[in-house]
Amino acid sequence: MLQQGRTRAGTKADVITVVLGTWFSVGLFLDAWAHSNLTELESFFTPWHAVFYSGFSATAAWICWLVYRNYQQGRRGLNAVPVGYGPAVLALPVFAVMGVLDYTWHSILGIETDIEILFSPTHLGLAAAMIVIMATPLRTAWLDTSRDKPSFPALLSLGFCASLVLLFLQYADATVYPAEAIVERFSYEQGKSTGIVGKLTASIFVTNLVMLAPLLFAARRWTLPFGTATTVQVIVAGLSASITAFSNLGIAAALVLSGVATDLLLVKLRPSEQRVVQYRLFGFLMPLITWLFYFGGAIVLTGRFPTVTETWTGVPLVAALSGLLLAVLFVPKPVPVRL
Amino acid sequence: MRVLLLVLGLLLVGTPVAHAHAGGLTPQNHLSAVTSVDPPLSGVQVRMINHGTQLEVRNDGSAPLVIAGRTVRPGETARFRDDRTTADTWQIPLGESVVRGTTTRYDAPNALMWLLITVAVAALGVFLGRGLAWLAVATVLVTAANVAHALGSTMVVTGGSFLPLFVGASGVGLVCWPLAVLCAGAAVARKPATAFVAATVGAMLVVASIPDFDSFRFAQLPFAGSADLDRALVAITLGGGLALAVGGFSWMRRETAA
Repeated sequence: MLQQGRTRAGTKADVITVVLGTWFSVGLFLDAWAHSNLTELESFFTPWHAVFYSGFSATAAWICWLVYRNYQQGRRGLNAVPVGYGPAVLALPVFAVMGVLDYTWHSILGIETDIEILFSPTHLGLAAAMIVIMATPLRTAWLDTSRDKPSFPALLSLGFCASLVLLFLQYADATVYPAEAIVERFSYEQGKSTGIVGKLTASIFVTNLVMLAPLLFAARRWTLPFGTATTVQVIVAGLSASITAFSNLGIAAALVLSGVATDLLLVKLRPSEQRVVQYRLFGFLMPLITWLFYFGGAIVLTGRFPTVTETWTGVPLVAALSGLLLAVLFVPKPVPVRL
Repeated sequence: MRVLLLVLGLLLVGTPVAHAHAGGLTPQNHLSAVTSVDPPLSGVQVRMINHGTQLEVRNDGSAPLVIAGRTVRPGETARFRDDRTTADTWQIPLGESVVRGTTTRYDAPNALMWLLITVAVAALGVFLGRGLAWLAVATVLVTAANVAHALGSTMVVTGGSFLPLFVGASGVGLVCWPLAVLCAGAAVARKPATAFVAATVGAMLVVASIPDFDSFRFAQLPFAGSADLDRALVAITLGGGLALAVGGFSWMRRETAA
């Protein structure tokens, strides 16, 4: 008998989606590591591509199974697609077509081993489709009106989406710097600051937005439970560290600790769209905490302070102010209505 | 079903080809080989490896050797590509000696015949849709052919670790092979999911094996066995995969229509 209306996939199904998505994402980060660290990639048929594309195939098969299961139960057309899975059903063939174009691109132009990997149009198409697929558990939780807290798969999905965005902004990723490099960059001679100081500073501001935006986004919809920020930081810092072959583990650990501190802040402030002051305060304090832990970690790990005090103490403050600005943009004051 | 077929159809058209021969080796109609080292060097072995694409120099002698700008010390083995080895007859200085070799050209096989064999295997899909047991047996057989192809193309590679090469050659096999086991289990339990899994494995294997069409066009295949055996495995994977996709979907259509 034909069934009307769309159905939810359920938390168990979302867990499987996020597990398969993890396989998919790890494949991408392995591939990114290989492109960054192995200079002689002679073939498209590498173990890294195999993990990546098999992860995609497994995710695609799973989502098709969810649709087929609903079809078996009498749902037809869009009604056969679980709530929140629609964009993923569209993104799967987009990803597949981009995969073929990527293969063709590699065959004609060769295999990228430097920053150009992040600008190849086929890679950008793959990444965009991948983020839509990976965001599926986040969408299903967002659309579930019976919940006032995000599901764990939704948090994992949030973390993976943020890490994918940061992967494609790798040239402005501050998390990949080892402690020694951070202290050195901010220890320049007065009047002789070079471009590399500016590069790390700009990287901190870009990374700050990528780390803060998911939390501000989620806080508009849910009361975020303790562990939210830590989960996101573990995924973002962990996957970023994997690209450097874990040469910056100390800084990654400092960022995870900043996630724990941010979780305490979340519990204390309970920022939400309705609690605008707390929401904006969170937007200011989260970056301040994160980057103080970042510089604090670098100082503890190297046993010395950066010599230019103004910059390393001011950078967290600028990040905090930009976070406040972002919070204002996420939840602006209502436009006054003329009476 | 139309949504599902549309998505699977697009996936079929577009899924990246993550399966082929290991180590970047490709089929070709020529093969280079070393014929002699003149004058012979005691303890030194020279041969073409990796489907005739690389020269390997193993120095078990007592003195260092220089070849193509590289120094091979006693106890060392050097492997490298050298474009000179693609000429019909070639020679490369090796210390005071010369490595001589030839490149043999071969006629391409009858691609049309292999294509017809593939189509004939694919035609079995009409019968596979009649029962879950047939679908499961065919899934296991087609997958076994795929595993054998991946193993054979990995074993022919010299100078790399087996596991990464095998994983690279397996591609979406990493998903298809466990799914084939799942398909057999589902058939034993008489679950309708058997047809879905069979169709999925079939569709994935077809797409993954598309680059292997080259096995029908070229004489020399990078495979640890006879080239005809590899072509047969590719024909079974491609044709059988298509048969599974067709058979699985026709079973699902009948079931949902009933």
